[in-house]
Amino acid sequence: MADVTVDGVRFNVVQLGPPPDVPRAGPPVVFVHGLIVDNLSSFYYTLAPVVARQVDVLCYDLRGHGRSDRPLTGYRLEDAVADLSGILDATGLTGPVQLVGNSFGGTIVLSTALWAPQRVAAIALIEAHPAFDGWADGMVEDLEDLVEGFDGPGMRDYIASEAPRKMRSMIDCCEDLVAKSSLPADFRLSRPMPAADLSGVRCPSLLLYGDCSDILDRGFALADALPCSELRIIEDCTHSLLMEAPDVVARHVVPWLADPAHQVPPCDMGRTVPA
Amino acid sequence: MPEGVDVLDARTQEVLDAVRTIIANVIGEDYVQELEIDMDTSFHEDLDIESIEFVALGEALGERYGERVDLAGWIASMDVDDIIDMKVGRLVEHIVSCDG
Repeated sequence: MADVTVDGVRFNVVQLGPPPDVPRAGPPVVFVHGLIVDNLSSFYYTLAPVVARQVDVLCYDLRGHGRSDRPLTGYRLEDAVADLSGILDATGLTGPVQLVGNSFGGTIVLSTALWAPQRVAAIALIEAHPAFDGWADGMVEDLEDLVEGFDGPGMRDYIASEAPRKMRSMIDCCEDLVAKSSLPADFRLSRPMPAADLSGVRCPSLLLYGDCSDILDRGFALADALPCSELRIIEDCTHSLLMEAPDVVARHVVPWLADPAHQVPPCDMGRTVPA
Repeated sequence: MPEGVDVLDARTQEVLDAVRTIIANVIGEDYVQELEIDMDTSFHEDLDIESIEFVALGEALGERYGERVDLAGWIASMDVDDIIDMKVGRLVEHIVSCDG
């Protein structure tokens, strides 16, 4: 585990991989976790060690999350892309990488594929939220509801006196990001990502969604918008697909990343959308 | 020696001491000072450790004992219940077993 500083913000970074003398079977893979209650551990304990048997892997805590710094500003999507690019530069990963994003991490991965395509060989999105019209308002509303819940009857007393350390830490993170930082305003100020622009993403993309996910419609929308996409729908899973079925997700993502056709853009594969 | 207390061999005791120190560094001396960490201490029930802290613990152990400890790979091979129920002793025994 190492710290990487980008524009004065310290990021918690973990790099895994085969022993130094073993040839790498493809480009590095970078994992991008989800929002607020998430951090790099959700990949560190699931896909990352499996992928790291073949290629170099980098996991990092997003700005404001996990063990990275929690500054009060810098939460637009373009800031997240700049953070990721800065971390790649600082760790010497200057060639195209495969990006894997979960939920809000998928939003960042899509933004990177769109706005910094030279960085990206392929993208695998797990329950990704594309930042289409209305994305920011919907996210901010959900986050504000979450934080308002901490003001429920007796909650403040419980948090102050009895709540386990882990819960207090999670609540602190939520309140810092939602109520104190510019994150809600920055989401609304983020550069728009119209579906039509996604036709310019030329790298291969894998889209995984649970069949019971509340954002399954985004999977179909992305499959329509991304020219080189392959949508796979996992049975009996919700938006928490990665946590509910890590082995199933690995069975889809790991061989897909290892396929040489998915390691160098642009692709010429057709779209695969379930009927 | 109180009845029922197992005597640890020197290597296990040494690893337990190192794990204790790293836990204190990761989750904070103040919190750990209130707790007696032994082989039977549960990461979840007793230490209330956060998943990201467990990553930091694993990375620190990797730096100390080398990549053969491979906590990420070891954890990835477990099911969720095993991880939730994990005790300090199981981690210590894993590290000792990697000595070979």
